[in-house]
Amino acid sequence: MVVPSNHPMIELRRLFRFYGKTKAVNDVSFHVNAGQVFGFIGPNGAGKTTTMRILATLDTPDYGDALIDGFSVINDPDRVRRRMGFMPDDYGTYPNMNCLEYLDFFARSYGLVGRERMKAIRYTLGYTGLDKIAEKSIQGLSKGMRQRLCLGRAMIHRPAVLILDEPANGLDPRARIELRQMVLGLAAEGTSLLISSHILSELGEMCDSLGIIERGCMIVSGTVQEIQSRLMPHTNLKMKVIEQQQKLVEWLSVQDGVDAVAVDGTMVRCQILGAKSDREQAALLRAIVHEGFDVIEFSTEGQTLEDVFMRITTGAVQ
Amino acid sequence: MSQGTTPPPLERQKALIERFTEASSQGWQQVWDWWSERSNPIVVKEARQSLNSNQFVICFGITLVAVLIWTMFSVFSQLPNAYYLPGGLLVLTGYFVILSFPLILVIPFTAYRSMMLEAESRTFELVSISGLSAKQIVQGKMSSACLQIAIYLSTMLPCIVITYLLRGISVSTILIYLYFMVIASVVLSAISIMIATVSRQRFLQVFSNLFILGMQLVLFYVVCAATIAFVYSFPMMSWVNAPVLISIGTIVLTTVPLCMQCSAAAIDFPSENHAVAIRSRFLVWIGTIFFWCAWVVVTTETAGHWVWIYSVLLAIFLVVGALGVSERGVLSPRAQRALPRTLLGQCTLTWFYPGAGLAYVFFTSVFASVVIGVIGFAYAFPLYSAAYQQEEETIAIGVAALCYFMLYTGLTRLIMMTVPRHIVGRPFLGLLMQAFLFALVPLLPYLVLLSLNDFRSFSYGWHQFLFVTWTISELDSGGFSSVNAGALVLLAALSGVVFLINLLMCGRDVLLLRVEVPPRVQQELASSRTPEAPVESVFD
Ligand SMILES: Nc1ncnc2c1ncn2[C@@H]1O[C@H](COP(=O)(O)OP(=O)(O)OP(=O)(O)O)[C@@H](O)[C@H]1O
Ligand SMILES: [Mg+2]
Repeated sequence: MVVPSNHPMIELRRLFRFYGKTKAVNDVSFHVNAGQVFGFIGPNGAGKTTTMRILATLDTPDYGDALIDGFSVINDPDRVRRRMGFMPDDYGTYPNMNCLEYLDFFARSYGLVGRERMKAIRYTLGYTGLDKIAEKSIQGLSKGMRQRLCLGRAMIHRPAVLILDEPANGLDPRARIELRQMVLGLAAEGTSLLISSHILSELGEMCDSLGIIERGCMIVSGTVQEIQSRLMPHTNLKMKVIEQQQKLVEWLSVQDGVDAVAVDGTMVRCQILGAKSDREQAALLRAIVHEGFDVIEFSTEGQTLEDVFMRITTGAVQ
Repeated sequence: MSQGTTPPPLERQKALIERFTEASSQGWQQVWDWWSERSNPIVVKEARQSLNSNQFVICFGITLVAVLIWTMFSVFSQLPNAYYLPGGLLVLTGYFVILSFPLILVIPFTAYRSMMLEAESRTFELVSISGLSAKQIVQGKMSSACLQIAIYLSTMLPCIVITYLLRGISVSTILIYLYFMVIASVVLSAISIMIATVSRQRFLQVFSNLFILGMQLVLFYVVCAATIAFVYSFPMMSWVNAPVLISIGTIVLTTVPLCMQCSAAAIDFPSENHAVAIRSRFLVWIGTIFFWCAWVVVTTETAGHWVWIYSVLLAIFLVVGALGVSERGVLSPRAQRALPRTLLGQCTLTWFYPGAGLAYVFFTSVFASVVIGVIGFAYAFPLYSAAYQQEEETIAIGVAALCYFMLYTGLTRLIMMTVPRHIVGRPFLGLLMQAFLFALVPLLPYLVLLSLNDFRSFSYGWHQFLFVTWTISELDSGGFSSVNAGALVLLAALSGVVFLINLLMCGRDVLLLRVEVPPRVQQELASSRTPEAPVESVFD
């Protein structure tokens, strides 16, 4: 059951976790509100799984605390577990069981009984598309099918917080799109989600905010736009005009804040200092049109999350 | 989502989903629904898995075939005489030997493997973060073992009734053997589950696998041999031996909850307080054992029994104490929420709370109460004392055993304080340390004296006070001679010092105050207390 509340649904307070000399998690803090999706990005070995396992009460931090719906994962893991669903990146399944029996077991283990249990199973099967293979033995499932089953298991008790460790791993392109829709649907219902992934463009599309972690440290976090503007000092604009390209270049080059302008056939590329909001871009377009140029295309380019990610991570492993 | 594999016929899928998700009107289905919703989800899951797996079917098949073959063989071989010679004995022996295969070997080992497999195949983590508590997981594993016992028994029952009809054996004999077999199976399963939970680390698994296999094979042999021997020696065993049956029954009954609590503690999250439950169960367990020991002394009117009773108690306490003082348990903020409120409570009950130092004081107090109890008993019932020729020795041996426990366990505790907390298998390290101290420390003065004495044997003296067995046997034979008294005083002084050091070290824990429950938890507790209006289903 998703109950809206006034405190963050996920809150990390100065979390540390060391394995010997390896600082797997080194002072990580952030919070996720109800109905928000937080994307957790980082290169291999950055500490994503470690952080998520601590949140899922499978590991304990060396220092700091994390709260799920206001309950400490250290001191009230039992209460946390009732409110949270966790999909690990690496997990085992039972032999001699089919998908339906598997989900039934977990539904029972969350204390769902009678009609409530039956509905939960049917809803989950439908939601994850497992109803067509309900009878299949788990050991015979493909990787993607197992991912779906694991996701179904994590959400069978309709937790207020879902923690998904690389959920898109092993899914086919179509299933990835469906996963995105599922995530957005769950968030719209009020579920808070924490999702880790390597596929950045995908995270950008479904997350409200992002955190980039490397070598245990959170390098940057905030909304997608905040990160882009903080880390990309330029706004690159691309416009297509029917004629008078050269004149547009001249006009643009005397405008405030314009760093560089270049012409490329019918295209004019322009780099402006600082991140420009949509409103500022609209104002610029209005000015260009007002000057009498026939603009047929106007867009920003080259600011994908991949660029940000490649810029700020070094790829160093510890 | 898309589908990547060829689906089985859609109708079948639909029927299957319906079977799971519709309340059925059929009688047996209703019974199953009713039963399964009220029993532990793990039992339901394992029952389903067993039905789908070959292992259960094969074991069950082997047992059934063995029973059939044995029945036919014994009946046909006795056929000409069956009408006038009682033949039940031979048949029954065979049945019990066959029954001990599933009950002693298969069921405990299955319980052990099923717990171990959860850790090995990485399914355990998912179960542990589900709504099931650690206690429910252990209860589930235990209940599925009990369910299997019930299944095997119910299939064997008709055969066993036949043996009664063949005469030569009384109902009580049959029942007594069934009783022994069942409690052996139950307690073995509990112990197997406990061993599986405490040795989930890979490097421990090799040892625990060997241990379990060895233990079960030896026990299987012993049970088979004992069955054959006993059924032939006491075929008309009657209820006269009721105290024996009750004592074994009560000791087993108190062992099983203790093992289950230890298993739950081993798999639960670290901040949970299991110490109170484990120590109170231990108290009941050791109380039961002590009661029956005292019962032996009183009914036989022989105080000499106290020597072996103290030895057994010392051995139990040394092992349990070593495990207790080497666990990494700390008084987590969660455990501190339930600390006693009053000063009196703090002084008397804090010893039940997590922490190695507190465990040490707890076990010492329990052992001391036992010794004081025995001394008090001897003085309070002079009637019995008339029969006691060795009152003095009894007291001396009790005090010596207590001092040895305090000394060695206290030293183990002090050494274990230097071992880092996060090291896995700390209890095993503590056990090794205890064994090491116990075996090697007394050797030191012994070897020194031996070399001073030109390697000729010498008699006991105060300098050998660390030597447990020697001291106890000297006290047993010599009582309070001046030499023995000297050794005892030295021992008491040294162990007293060790005890005091330990007591001071855990002073901080005793002074800890109860912490308030966090506001968020209070809020939840308050809302769960007020009855909620029925919620609309979220799945609609
Ligand atoms: N049980 C462990 N023992 C020792 N070191 C560990 C353990 N678990 C994780 N680490 C170390 O902690 C660091 C963070 O690991 P983690 O699994 O959290 O990374 P990740 O961000 O999930 O990486 P990936 O993208 O590859 O899944 C790594 O350097 C890893 O070697
Ligand atoms: Mg990972």
